[in-house]
Amino acid sequence: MSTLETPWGLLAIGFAASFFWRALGALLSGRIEVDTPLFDWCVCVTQAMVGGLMVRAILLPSTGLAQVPLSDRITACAIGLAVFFALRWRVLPGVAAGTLSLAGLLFWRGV
Amino acid sequence: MSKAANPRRHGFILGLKDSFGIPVVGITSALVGYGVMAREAGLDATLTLISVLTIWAMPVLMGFVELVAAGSSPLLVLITLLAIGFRNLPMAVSAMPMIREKPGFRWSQILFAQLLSPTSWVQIIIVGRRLEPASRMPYYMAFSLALLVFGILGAWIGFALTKNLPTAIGLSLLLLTPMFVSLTMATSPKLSSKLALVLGGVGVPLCMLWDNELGLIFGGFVFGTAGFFLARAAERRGSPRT
Repeated sequence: MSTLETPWGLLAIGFAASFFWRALGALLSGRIEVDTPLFDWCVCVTQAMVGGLMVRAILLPSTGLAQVPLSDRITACAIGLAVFFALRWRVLPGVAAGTLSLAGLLFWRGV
Repeated sequence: MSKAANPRRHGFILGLKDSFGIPVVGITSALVGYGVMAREAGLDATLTLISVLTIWAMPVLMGFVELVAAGSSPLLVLITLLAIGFRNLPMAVSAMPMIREKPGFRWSQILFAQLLSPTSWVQIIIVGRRLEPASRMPYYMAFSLALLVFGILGAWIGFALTKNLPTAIGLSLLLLTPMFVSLTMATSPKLSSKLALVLGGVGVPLCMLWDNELGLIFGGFVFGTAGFFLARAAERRGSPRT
């Protein structure tokens, strides 16, 4: 196993990937226009990747969430989304509703 | 614009004050979920806390922990996290003019950019305009550092308490961070970003079933591009003819 394949090596890669864009942004600040179609497209690719990773983390998880019945995870997410939209796109109440719903469902199942 | 006898001190105290409340609660709870996920993924406590300090962007952190848990190759981690971290570029470009105290580049701006998060970006863009220029950098530093400190504390709480929590609570906390990141990204004002998020949420996991590594990159590219062009088509149809 090479150094880069260890968790610390992967963290160094994560730091570099995050820091690179921040440092470049600080250097280019005031010199480039960010409200362009090219930037918009790059953000779209980011959104799609993150959206995919988040849905996978919920529906096809590699964590202990896999022990939770799929129907419970979907129900909790649906409740969270319903609260999010009902309260005009407020993130925290939506997240709280989803998380608490899942806890409630698991308690109800006797987990 | 507010005037104060000591604008730097005024900015710093105001930044601290503004961070307490919704911003700190949001970051702390999201990072509690991250701490739980990091433990589940097999990360140790030091690595978990240092990852928060060094990466300091929820989508990248989530990508990192997911990829580590999946045993991904360093090359995939680099490509994916570079793609996810791209969002930091336009944020830094647009926030720096508000924070910098003198025209031109200073090395300290790299540190300011490293502290940037979507929450502090929104805050400095909105509140910064109402502050006198000398207050803006101390305001930003106080606000961002408070979020970072509470974020690290949240990750530690999540990591340390997982074993002592009832199983139902511990498992439900694993849902917290993916929901937080997804809903936060859904609040983007641009239709293209919203469409890309939804299309990616459906399409990318399917592509990853086909190939765990290439599927993420391929799916991100295809569904992100689809969201971009669909939004442009919708906007063209919606705009009045000239």
